[in-house]
Amino acid sequence: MSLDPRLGRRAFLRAGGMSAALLAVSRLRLPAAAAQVEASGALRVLGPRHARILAAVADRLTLTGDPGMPRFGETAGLQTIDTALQQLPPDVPVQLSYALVLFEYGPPLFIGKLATFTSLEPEWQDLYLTGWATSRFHTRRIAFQALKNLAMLGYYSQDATWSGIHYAGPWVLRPRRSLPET
Amino acid sequence: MITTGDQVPADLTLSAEVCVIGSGAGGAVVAKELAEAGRDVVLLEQGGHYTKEDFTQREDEMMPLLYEDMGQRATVDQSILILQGRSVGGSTVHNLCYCFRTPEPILDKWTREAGVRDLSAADLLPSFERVERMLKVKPIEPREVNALNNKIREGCEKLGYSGFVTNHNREHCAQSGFCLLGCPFDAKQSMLVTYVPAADRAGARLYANCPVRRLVAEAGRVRRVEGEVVDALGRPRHRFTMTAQVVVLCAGAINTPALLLASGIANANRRVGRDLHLHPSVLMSGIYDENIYGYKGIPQSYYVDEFIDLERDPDSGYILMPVYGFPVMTATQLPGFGRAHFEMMRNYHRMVGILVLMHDQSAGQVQIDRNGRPQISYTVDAREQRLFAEGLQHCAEILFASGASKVIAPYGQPVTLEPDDSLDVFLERGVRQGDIPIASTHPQSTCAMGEDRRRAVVNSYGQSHDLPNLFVCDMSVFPSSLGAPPQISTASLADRTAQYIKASWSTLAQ
Repeated sequence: MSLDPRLGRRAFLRAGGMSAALLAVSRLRLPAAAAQVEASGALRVLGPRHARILAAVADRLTLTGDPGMPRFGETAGLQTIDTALQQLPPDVPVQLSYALVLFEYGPPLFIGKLATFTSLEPEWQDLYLTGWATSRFHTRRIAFQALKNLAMLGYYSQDATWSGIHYAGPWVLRPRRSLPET
Repeated sequence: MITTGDQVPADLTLSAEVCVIGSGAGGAVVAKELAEAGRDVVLLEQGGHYTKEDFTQREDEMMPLLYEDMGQRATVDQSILILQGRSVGGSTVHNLCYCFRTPEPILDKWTREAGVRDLSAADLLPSFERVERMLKVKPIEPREVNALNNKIREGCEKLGYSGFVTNHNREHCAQSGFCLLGCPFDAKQSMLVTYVPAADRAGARLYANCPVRRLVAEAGRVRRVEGEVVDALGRPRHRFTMTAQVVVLCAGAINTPALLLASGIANANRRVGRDLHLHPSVLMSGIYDENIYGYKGIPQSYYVDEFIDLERDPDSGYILMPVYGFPVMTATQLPGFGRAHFEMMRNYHRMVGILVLMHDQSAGQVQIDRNGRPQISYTVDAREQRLFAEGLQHCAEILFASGASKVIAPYGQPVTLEPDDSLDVFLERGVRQGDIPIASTHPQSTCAMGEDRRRAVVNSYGQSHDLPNLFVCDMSVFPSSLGAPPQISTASLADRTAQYIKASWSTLAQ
């Protein structure tokens, strides 16, 4: 989930060769119903805006199509990601926030749809994600893998996902660890 | 005495005869050997001190505790993931217990080409024996080979490929299979349960959560060690300063050169951080019709050496190793997303992983950013890209020979093959950085040893050519790729350096 540590926001945007347009689009407001986010989750690193984007991305990345498996938004996946981010160097959440904003406002430039990622139809969201995953620009593929790593961490850390993949979980039954108070 | 960061109430000033930085396979051995010899030793560890009660076998909880950057340390282009430990015991807390002595052809090569002296197999024998006794190294019993490893063995036997069941450092193993996340039974004979407690009993003082930021040299010697006392989340709480007559740097082949570069010392020949080798590896998964449950049982006991012959060619070859992952690790490595990704995850219990681990001549470099943090670059050369592709072909052969109904190579655009499909696709597709995940658990060679001070950072015993009271004692000192799992080599070289320091003490302690 670490993006290139040398990559600032401007460098990231320049890498795509479309900084002015993206910056303009990024002034759009996020739609209120972008994704279902558990507002009471007491997130410490992710703000509401970034949490909404990340939840929407993670939902598509981890969608199983299996009725026995939970959707990302039904799990504590965001809290798990937030806890992980607390334990990474402070520049990582900053880079993640840039990546999420770029990702959210990129559809007009990358797939020609005048919409944010979170307001796209699911089929278009998947098409957009595929574009990032297979982009000829290394930076976009890195960003995709970072988001995927976070999504998979959030999703497959949840006990509720394990029966669907026939994973029995830990041998030792111990309470979850809690982080020290900030 | 073991002190953790949250037990330190204020800025800390320490002094000892010996300061050891890093408590993994190198540092723990040096600390124990020197403390038992009567030296006053302080052992500094950047990570926390976690014991079997802390190991919950959950990925999201254990990865931040036990792995550098939560297991996400990578090259600057993000094409190679580098897994390293960051707690008391270092990488030995999460490794999979392979125990190999340094291959004799590699020792010969180091003597011949790097000018290392007194490093024959006979010279190292006492160190090998001490380390193996301490770590309770012994063969894995046939009945202990789990289903995943047996599939690899079965495939190799059908194809006539050379492979064998290895030695491990385990004692009364419960075979729960969660070794990557720390052993909750203290069965893994890591540094955490062997050398560190022995150093503690001998009087060494261990400070956990104490990352070193700078070594200060004056008048040709290291005079001071400076760092921070951090909390469990790595946030600075206090500063510490330490003085010692001898400093032994054992922070691993990434952090050791980074610290030397940040300190601006021991680098007169500008070789610090160069010639990084990684033992890079690429992964393939086989799907079987029967249940494997690869995460259960001893995870990595078989070893395929068909494609490496160090006697014939000490500069080339690759090893095939069984490998497994827990759900998060597996999900991040499998290609794609959404429903197609889940169709692969649905077969998690029927998967067998095998990786190609390169004895690499390709090289990289560790540099630092303006904050002193390591910046790692590495390029897999064209020859080894071809060898990787060839290795993937052999992985597929082995998996199909043992009954896999499908194999998956995790390219960005995944390659999925069935038994009758041509395996030429790997040669056609090649293995290029950024196109397929590459991982490393064995970074090495960034402060190479040798007697030629123009080429080597340290001498044959790990002593800096520039600063005689500074030693390096980790995988940094390997003059080339080791070509084998490094745990015993690292610990044995550390034992050897410790014996040298003991014998030279009156000269060193000015």
